[in-house]
This record gives sequence, structure tokens and C-alpha cells, in this order.
Amino acid sequence: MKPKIILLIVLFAIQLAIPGYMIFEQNQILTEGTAYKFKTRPIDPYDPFRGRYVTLAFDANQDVIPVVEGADIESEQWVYALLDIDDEGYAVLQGLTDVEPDSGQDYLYLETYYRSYDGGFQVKLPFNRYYASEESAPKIESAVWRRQRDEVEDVYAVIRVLNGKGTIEELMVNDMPIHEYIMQPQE
Amino acid sequence: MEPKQLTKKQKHWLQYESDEWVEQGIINSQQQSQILGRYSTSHIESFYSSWSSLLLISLGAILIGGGIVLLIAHNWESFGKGTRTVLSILPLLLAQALTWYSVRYKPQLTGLREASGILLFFAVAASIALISQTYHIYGDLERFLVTWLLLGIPTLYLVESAGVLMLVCALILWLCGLEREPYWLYYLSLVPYLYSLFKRQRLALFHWALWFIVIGTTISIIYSVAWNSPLDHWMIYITLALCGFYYSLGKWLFGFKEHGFWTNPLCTAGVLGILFISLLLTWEDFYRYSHLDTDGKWGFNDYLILSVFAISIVSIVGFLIHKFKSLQIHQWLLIGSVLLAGLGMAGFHLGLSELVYIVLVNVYVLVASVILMSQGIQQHRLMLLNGGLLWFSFLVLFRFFDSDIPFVLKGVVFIFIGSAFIGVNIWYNKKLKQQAEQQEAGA
Repeated sequence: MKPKIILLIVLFAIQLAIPGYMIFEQNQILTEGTAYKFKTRPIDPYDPFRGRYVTLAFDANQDVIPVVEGADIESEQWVYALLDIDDEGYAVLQGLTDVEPDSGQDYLYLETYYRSYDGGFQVKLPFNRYYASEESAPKIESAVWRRQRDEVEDVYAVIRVLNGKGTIEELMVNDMPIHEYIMQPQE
Repeated sequence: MEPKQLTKKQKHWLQYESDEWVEQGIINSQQQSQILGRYSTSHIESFYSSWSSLLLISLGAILIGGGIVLLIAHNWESFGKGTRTVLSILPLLLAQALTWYSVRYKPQLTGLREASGILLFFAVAASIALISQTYHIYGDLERFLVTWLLLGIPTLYLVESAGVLMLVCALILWLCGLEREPYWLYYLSLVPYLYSLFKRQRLALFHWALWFIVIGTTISIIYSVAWNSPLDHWMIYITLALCGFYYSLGKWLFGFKEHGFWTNPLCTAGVLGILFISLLLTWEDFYRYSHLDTDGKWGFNDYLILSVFAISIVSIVGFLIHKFKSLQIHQWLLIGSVLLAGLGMAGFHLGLSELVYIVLVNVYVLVASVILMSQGIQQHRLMLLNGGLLWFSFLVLFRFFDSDIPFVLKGVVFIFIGSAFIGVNIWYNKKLKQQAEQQEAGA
């Protein structure tokens, strides 16, 4: 067999392996990962290849996360953010460390953003895109924001977390999946 | 032996001439048919029809590929995760099957190879896009484009499709304009392919790719240092040196024989850049802020661009030494504009006054543009004349509207230069007349 044909087979295998690995990894996180609820607000932008999505502006992005004692962390550094749950049942980032946590402790591997005056950091949660159809995406944004003016809505994303990686399972409004929520008649 | 290619007109001439040779007994009719058999017009005749059909096939494949991506981007959320996962792999498998068939069994069918290569290129994007969409995988457009590009470049080498080459070039160009990262380095991965195109004399494709490379690299370098970089005040000087490098490289690679506007992208882009930037330097705002921010945050990209600047200067010097005797005065003047960059950088740090620098640049552009025009007239080269005229006209236009120079001074300088032009013209005409009279007397 000619080298070119062998290389072509290798290329095909790589081209298939990349999406294949993406599918495998996402399914693994979704099935084996622990579910956390992250408070968020959706905004509707556009991607030329992957279509419409809602950007999830997480409350956790606004918070200053303290650094775990002994950790040496700089801005724009990839770190481990330890996960915990607050009294209301929502996920909180408890602290940042540069050492991979032991098993049993859930964490997210993410990049630090700004250093705060008190030594903590702001971070950006990476799973910030919820893809939806051309019809649904603007509806999600407008429905949630219209309702918010009048009453306090409970908007959160259920994120499955495994080995530092998180993936979106569902976007929820008042404990209802977003697609069911937008199907409801709006008053 | 394969027949040599002739145009129809050339073949017709040869046929006519050889008929006469036979009549005159120089050759016999058998020899005539042997000679005529050495030349063919088939390639030339079939070239345009095959070229246009290839173009149509490629455009068709691009549209179909783009259409698949758009269909996927619509987001068929009602299909559910399982169906969408299968659907995401399906276009990739089909495109791979078509490419396999084309490369393995029908390598001689260029149209099929083009179509399958382009479809495979798009199928990779469609597949990654649909999986990202189905599982809400994070990652911005930049990461998506880089993954696509890395899978696209090997496709180019294995399928050897002109369409894929153009798409890869365009994708790198997109990345160059999207982020302040040295994405132009990806063009280096195309060098072996472009070299093979050049060797095989597939020059149209080669020129197109070179245009992409020149534009992409320039955009990327300007964008990377234009602001918020320790090199931002040197951006204009670095770009000027880069244009000088393009020009020298263009002359070095393609020789001093004149090429058209489109067929030597390096020279064309180099000249345009030199003219434009030297004109910018005639304004005061750039020299005033020529300091290098040594205390700023230096990243890989900054060091890389500084290296590009150094390599450009060294290459220009090497070119000048190597081609010292072949260079004409207008080429010296164009490449010499890079000295304005050196003068700006060094002059600022050595305390050269702003007024002196600005005057020097203005005088340089004025003298150089006039020499370019006169060279154009003497050598009957319209492109050179127009280039000089354009350079000169913009300098005049800029100074006319320059609010920093007092009106009286501007007026005096304009009248002086205008008089000088008319004076030179009268003197030149007289000289021509004298020469003509002398020639008549001599005859």
C-alpha cells in the first residue's frame, strides 16, 4: 500500500477520533459526573458555525474567589477551583489552589481572571454556552429577562462535574427545563 | 516524447511556413509531419474548458459544504442527543468515503478530487460543530477554527486540492484578523506545498496563495502590536521594514524582469506598503511617540515580531549586497525608504528633533517620487510613472491640508516646487530640441 494511502487512513482516523473523543468525554461527564446548580443569566448571541446559543452569565463569575492557604496563584493561570454547595443548594467556588485536589473533592479546572485587592481572584466558568435553535435562543433570553423585571426567577444551569471538567446538562428556570418553560404561555 | 504545447496561432504559422519549406525542397513532407507532430494545441484548447469546469465544481462543493454547516447551525434540537450524535459523524464518513474513492481509484479525475477534498474539509467543521452544539461544549470561535485548520492542512497535502488550499489560506487569514496571536505562522506549514506548485508551474494558484500569505501576515503583525503591546509605538517602523522585506524577497524570488500587478504579490504589496507608510511618516504624530516600552509586559508574540523585524532588516541588507549591481535607482529608493524606520527609531533615542525628522522624510518622499516619475518617463514604464505620480500627489495633498504648517510657508514652498517643475520641464524640452537640431545637422 502506498504511503499516501496509509497517511490518508491515519488522517481519516484522526478526523473521526476527535469528534469521537468529544462525544465520549461529554457522555462520561454527563453519566458519571456530580450535578451542581450554578445561578446564571442568559444572553443570546450567534456563532456562524454552531448557530445560536445563549451565553450564560454566571453569578460565580462576579464573585471574588479566595486562594487556598499555601497556594501560589497568578492572574491568567489555570487552577483548581474547589466546589461546595451553599445553604440554598447552589454551587459555590470555595477556594482556588494550584495542586490537584484528592479524590472525593469535586473541582473545576479553570483560568483565573482578575486579582482582587484582598488577594482573591475572579474567574470565568468555562461552560458558558447553551446552544439552542434559531427560534428558541431569543425566546429563552427574552422570556427570562421579561419575567425577571416583575418577579424573582430562579434561573440556574445544572452542570455535571467530573475530574475538573464540567458540562451543561440542562438550563432550568424555577426547577423547570428551559424548553418547557418557554413553551408556557407568558402573561 | 510528449508534444510541446503551442497556441493555435503559433501552430497555424508553423503549418504555413513548413508548407513553404516543403515547396522549396528544404524538407520533405514526411519531415514536415514529423516536425508538426512535435507540437500540439490540445492542452491550450482544453485548458479553459477544464479550468472553468473545475471552478464550477469547486464552487459547487464549497456551497454544498457551507450549506451543510448552515443546516447544522440551525440546531435541530427536536432530534434528541442520540440522533444528532449519529448525524454529526455522518457527513464526515460520507466525505471520507468519497475522498477515499477519489484518491485510491480515480486519482486522474481532478474534478472529483477537488469536490471530495472541499467536502471533506467542510465535513470536519460540520462534525465538530454539531457535537459542540449537541453537548453545549464550551470553547470560542478561535478554538473551533484552530481545530478545523489543524485537521484541514493534512487534507490539503493528501488530497492536493486547489479549493482546499484556498480554504486553508482563507481560514488562516480569518484567524490572523480574529485574534492577536501569531497565527500567520500556520502559513509556514504551506511552504512545501507552495514550493511544489511553483515547481510544477501552477502559477495562478501559487500567486493566489501568496496574496493570502502576504495580506494575512501583514494584518496579523499589525494587529498584534497596534496597541497595548510594548512594541506598539514601533508598529509603523516594523511594518515599513516588513514591506521592504516583501519587495526585496519578491525581486529575489521572481527576478528583476517586470511582472504584472497580480503576478508578484510580494513586490506589489511591498511597494504599496512602502508608499503608504512613508506618507504616514511625513506626519508628525508617529515620530513623536517612537519610544520602546522596555518596562511593558513582553510576551512570545512581541519577541517574535521583534525577530521578524530583525530578520527583515538583515534580509534586506543581504539582498542589497547580493544584487548590488542589478538594482536600478528606483529600486534603491523604494528599499531605501526602510532607512526612514531606522532613522525614526534611532533618531528618537538620540534626541533628533521632530522637525528635522519630518523635514527629512518629506524631502525623501518628494525627491524619490520625482525620480520614480522621471525613471518611468525615461524607460517608458507606465506603472513606474503612475507609482511615482501617486506618491508625489499624496504628499502634496497631505501637505496642502496640513494644519500644523503656517499658510505663508506652505504657499511659498508650493510656489517654489511648482516653479521648479515648470523650470525643469522648459529646460528639458529645450535640451530635447537642441538634441533634435544637432541630429538634423549631423544627418
